[in-house]
Amino acid sequence: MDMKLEMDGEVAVLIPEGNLVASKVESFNSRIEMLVGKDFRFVLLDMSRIDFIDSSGLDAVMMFNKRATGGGGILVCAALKDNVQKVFRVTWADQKIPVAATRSDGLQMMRELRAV
Amino acid sequence: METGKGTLLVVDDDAFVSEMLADILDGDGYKVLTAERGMEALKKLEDLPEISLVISDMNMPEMNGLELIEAIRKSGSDVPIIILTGNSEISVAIAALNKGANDYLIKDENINETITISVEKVMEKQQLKLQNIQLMENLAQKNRELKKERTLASKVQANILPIKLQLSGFQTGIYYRPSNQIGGDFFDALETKNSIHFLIGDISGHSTSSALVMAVCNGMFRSLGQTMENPLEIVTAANRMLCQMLMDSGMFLTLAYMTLDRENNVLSVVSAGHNPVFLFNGTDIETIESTGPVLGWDPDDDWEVLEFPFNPGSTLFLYTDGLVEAKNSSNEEFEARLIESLIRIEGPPDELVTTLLREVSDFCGGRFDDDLTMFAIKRL
Repeated sequence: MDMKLEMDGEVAVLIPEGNLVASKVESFNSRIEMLVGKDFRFVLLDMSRIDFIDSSGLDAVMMFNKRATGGGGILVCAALKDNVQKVFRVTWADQKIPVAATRSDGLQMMRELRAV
Repeated sequence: METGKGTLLVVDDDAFVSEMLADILDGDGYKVLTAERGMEALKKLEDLPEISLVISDMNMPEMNGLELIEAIRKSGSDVPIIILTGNSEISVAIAALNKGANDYLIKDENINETITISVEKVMEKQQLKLQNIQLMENLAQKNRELKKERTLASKVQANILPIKLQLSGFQTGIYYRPSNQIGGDFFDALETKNSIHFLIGDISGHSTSSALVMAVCNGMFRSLGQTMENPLEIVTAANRMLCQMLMDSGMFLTLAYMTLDRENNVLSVVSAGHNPVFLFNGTDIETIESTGPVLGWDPDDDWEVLEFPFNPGSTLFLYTDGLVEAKNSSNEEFEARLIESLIRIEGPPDELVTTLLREVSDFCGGRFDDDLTMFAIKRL
């Protein structure tokens, strides 16, 4: 799966692209591993280029969140398309992971969460 | 002298060349047989299956090298063949290779060196080819075994689910189809002393592990339903067990669990991250959204319980996301059409399910990427 990394201060902004579905989960995980390694603290997952997410894709995001928060870090998801937002809302994943409407809102949310 | 590197057959009408090649190759550890004519070579190949390579002259009486290659290949043999000739025309080499020769050598002053190299190269390639064939056969065998296992697992799974339900006072319509023989969807109905329990669930993913968790969940909810009446208690207990069981697998379960108090006609619903449940009371459709997160994420999660009247004549429609996420060629999901279809389709639950299946199949061209389950229950 295509994924870009852009740094915004200490925050790693990951921008995956395509459908986050069962067949892409392995490459999603390996791209994260390659781009931010195991020692990341603050990651913003810009999902503006994810068109569709299935349950396996949501598994992967939740596992990523678990790794991030388990190590004292923060994961914020931002810019979810309607389809993806619906999955987050129905499963209540949006109650488990901080979700922001836009990337800049996500970065602001990250600053506020870090200040807590 | 080395032995055991293989048996070679040299075909040449010139005895001097045959003996020279035999000497060279014998010294390299090959057992060398000879034939003066093509027909004699074919007979030896038929009688001696241990021949692992043929070296043939191109220009011979009765049957030339090209004709010999053709006859060998026609017999079904894929023994490697090296063609020798004094002719350095490239067209002859191409013709020989096209007929099925594996290499082509010019009979010149370097032949004692080039023949050894060519034989080793061709034998090595043949060995690799045989190994590849064996590997492909092993892979095909593994695939056959895996397919057999999945078919068996599919049958076991189908037997776990109550494809035909006999509930007194209810009519039901059911459709269940895993996307890949085995799946993570399940549903059930359970009658207890004072109530009836209905449930539908969907384990994340479509793997064998999803099917395994589905089987465990099915048994777990049967057991919990026998001992508890309150859907919130049941879902809470199930979540704690699932969190322990799934640990760091990342898997989760979406579930809608309902109990009907028969005496008071009240349906209590807990929906753990599941797609909306639809309840038809006369002309009204109640859309029941999820009342809390999916199961398996956090043992301390909580859910709201919603209550609705479920009187005789009312119909409950449950489904998994395979229905609403079915896509047409314009990448639109069926979800936008579901309510309109539910309002329009008339008839008992089995007809509702059958008609809906036809509509969604037409919509997505029969291409379903996910498990699909529909469960309609009408109270008589």
